[in-house]
Amino acid sequence: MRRRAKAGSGPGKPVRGKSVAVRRRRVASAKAVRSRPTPASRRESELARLKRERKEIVDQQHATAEVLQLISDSSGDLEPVFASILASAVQLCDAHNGVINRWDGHALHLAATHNMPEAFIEVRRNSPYRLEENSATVRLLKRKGPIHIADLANDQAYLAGNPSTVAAVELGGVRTALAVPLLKENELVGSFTVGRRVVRPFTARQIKIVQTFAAQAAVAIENARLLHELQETLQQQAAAAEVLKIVSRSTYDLQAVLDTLIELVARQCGADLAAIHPERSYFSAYSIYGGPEDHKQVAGGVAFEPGDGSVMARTAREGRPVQVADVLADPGYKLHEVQQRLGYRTVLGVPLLREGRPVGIIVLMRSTVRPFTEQQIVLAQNFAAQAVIAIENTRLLTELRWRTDELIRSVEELERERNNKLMNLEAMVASISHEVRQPLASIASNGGAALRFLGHAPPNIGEVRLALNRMVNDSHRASQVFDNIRALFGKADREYEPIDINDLVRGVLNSLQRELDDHGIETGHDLASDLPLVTGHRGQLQEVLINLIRNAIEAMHADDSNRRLLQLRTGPHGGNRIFVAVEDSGPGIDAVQLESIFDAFVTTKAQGMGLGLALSRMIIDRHAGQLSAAPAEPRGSIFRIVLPGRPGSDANS
Amino acid sequence: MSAPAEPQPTVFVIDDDADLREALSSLFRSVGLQVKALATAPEFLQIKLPEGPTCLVLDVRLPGLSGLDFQAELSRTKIDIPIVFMTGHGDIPMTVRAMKAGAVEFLPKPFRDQDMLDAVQTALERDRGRRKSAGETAKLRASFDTLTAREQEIMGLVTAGLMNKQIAGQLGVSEITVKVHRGNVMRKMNARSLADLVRMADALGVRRAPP
Repeated sequence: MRRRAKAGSGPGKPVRGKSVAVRRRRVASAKAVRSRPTPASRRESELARLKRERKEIVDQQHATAEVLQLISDSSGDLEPVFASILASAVQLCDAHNGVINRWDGHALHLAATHNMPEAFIEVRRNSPYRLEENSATVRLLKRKGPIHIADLANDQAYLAGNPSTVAAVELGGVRTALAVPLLKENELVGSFTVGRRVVRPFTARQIKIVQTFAAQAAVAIENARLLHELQETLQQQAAAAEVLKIVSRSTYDLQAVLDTLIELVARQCGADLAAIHPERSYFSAYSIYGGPEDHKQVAGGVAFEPGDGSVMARTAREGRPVQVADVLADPGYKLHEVQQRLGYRTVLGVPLLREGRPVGIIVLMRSTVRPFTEQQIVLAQNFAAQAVIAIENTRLLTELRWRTDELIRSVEELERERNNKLMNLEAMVASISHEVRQPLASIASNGGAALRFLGHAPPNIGEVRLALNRMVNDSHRASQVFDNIRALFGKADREYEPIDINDLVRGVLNSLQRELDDHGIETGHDLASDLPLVTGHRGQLQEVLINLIRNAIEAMHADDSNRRLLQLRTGPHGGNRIFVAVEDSGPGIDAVQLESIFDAFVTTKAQGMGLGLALSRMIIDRHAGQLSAAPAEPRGSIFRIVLPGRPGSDANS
Repeated sequence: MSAPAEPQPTVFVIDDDADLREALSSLFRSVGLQVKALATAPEFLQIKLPEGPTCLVLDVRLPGLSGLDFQAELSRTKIDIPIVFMTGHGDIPMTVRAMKAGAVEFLPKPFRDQDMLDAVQTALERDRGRRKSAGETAKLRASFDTLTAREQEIMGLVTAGLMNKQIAGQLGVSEITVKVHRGNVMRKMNARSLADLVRMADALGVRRAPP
């Protein structure tokens, strides 16, 4: 029988036990036929005994087969398996009742009973057997072998008043008791007990039967454990894969990641409502699952307030999962309003730990009092770990992206500056060459004229002299271009000085007054007082202003339909900056040209030493300011110079 | 320089740079050309153009109106005058535009004096040719105007290649009458042959479509 039990107890192969049982049955029949030459009566009784034994064996084998089938079908649910094993064992051993206990490393917990009164069950549920107690069962555990007590009421434990033994005798009505350990690789996993209400010891065969069933119960437990483990692993793997998928899919969208994550946790752990509360200094995405439509509004305001009033606060303080089986039964619980509106009872808080510090909390809630199991808590912790990875990941990627953008911005900035410098250089060269080409063309023409007048018969000396004089003037004019440029740009930086912009405007207007009068242009100015001084190169700024005014004169010259009006304005421009605006009543610049007028080749033709808009812009750039053009109302153009004021300076004019 | 009776050619210079204006004037005078120098384009439009051949020497960048815009303006107002452009910049797209619009030459500053004189001679030659063909057409028009209405009609039909008989049938007159009119046409138009008359009809645009 021992061997048979072994044959059926191969872990993970419960189904094969069936065929083994069938084979054994044939062996038993053969054995019955062999014992023959005896007196009739003895033979009769022998035959009856053999028949009975055979029936027992067959019954036992049927029961075993049934149990094995149950185990393989149970998919980890031990209750029906235990019930069936107990019933079979009690019946086959002619016992009255039976109990299966499970060992958790500290105590034996009631797992299944057969034919035991309610009172006994209740006592046993509330008081597991502990090792220190000297009960019969505990002795058995220590021995790791069967214990057979003919009369429990005469046992030392009962006489010593051991409560569990007393309960067995007085509540369970047990007298003869047989206890067998449930072993897995020689480690205790539980106990299997059958009892009789009368004093009648079990036979050796019955003891063996009980041992067989005990072995099956041990297999069932192991089987269930393995199945459970497998299921859990698969579940967690699936959940982990899902989370990873989300994390990698929407790297920048933490909210989406956490929304999916909280839904997964809630489903996997069987929560009715769930939320991930962020520690706002670390991340801000707040995700919820389930509950009424206003769940987010109702619970979103709950913060990490220290104290005992919320599961969140307790979880944050403890830094590990905290469960409250029923918040209504918890005197310290304070979130009554939220609780009423969301209607939860059991609450589990699981911290999101980053380097041991909680950066958020997963809160799982059930609307009925139904505590989360150990496995569900572990599962929630796994999810919490993944949430932390997702949060960290997103944070790092966001930071990376931000830094990359920053880098791109500064590279573009450098590029723009470089382009500006090149454009400025181009503008300068174009301007200079334009300025110099003019006198050079004159010199060439005058020279050609002089030569031809010399070739006249007689030579026209008067014309020759005039041409030569003009050539001399033209060469002076050409060299003047360079002198002016050098005056403007040579060692310019060292000649920066505080400048009152209003003084500068008045000075330039004065110097151009005759030119303005010649063109019949009225001038007006509106200069703000209390402007800060600017730091700059007086000559350069004058040149820019002269150039803008000459531009305005030219613009109005081409247009004779209207009153010609030149307006100069100064004023504050925000942030300690000032502006100077030059407005004309000419035909205006069309919108397409507005920006390109500052390009080197679009400058309107310069007269005299006007340097053109490109150079004007370059000068203003060098003064850390801006030069821009816009259409004026109702007609004409406004050129606006914006310059930074001197730090801490106010106007004194 | 070709026909002795021809009035003096005139070069118009438009540039807002007074120094360059004077230099160019002097250069053109040194080869015996009449010069009129102006500071702005609108001034040119107010001047009555002289009888003889003329041309324009123009900076592409003028204050207000650009040289190219001015070129377009002239062509709009049917003032047909050859233009030599000057430019301070090596501006290729502008050159192409100007040449397409019929500019004679595009000279970057500073230019060689001889290049400028050559360009101006080419421009004046072109104007001379234009004037000549315009003068001939005017003469033909005067002769054509001396024809009677019937004679003008017969000139159109004859030059379309119709026989006297056909013309007579079409106009409902005798063939003799057609012959007489035709003789008058040849004489008044001073045509040496039928081919000569056809060329004149073409120049005047009075030739009927062939039947």
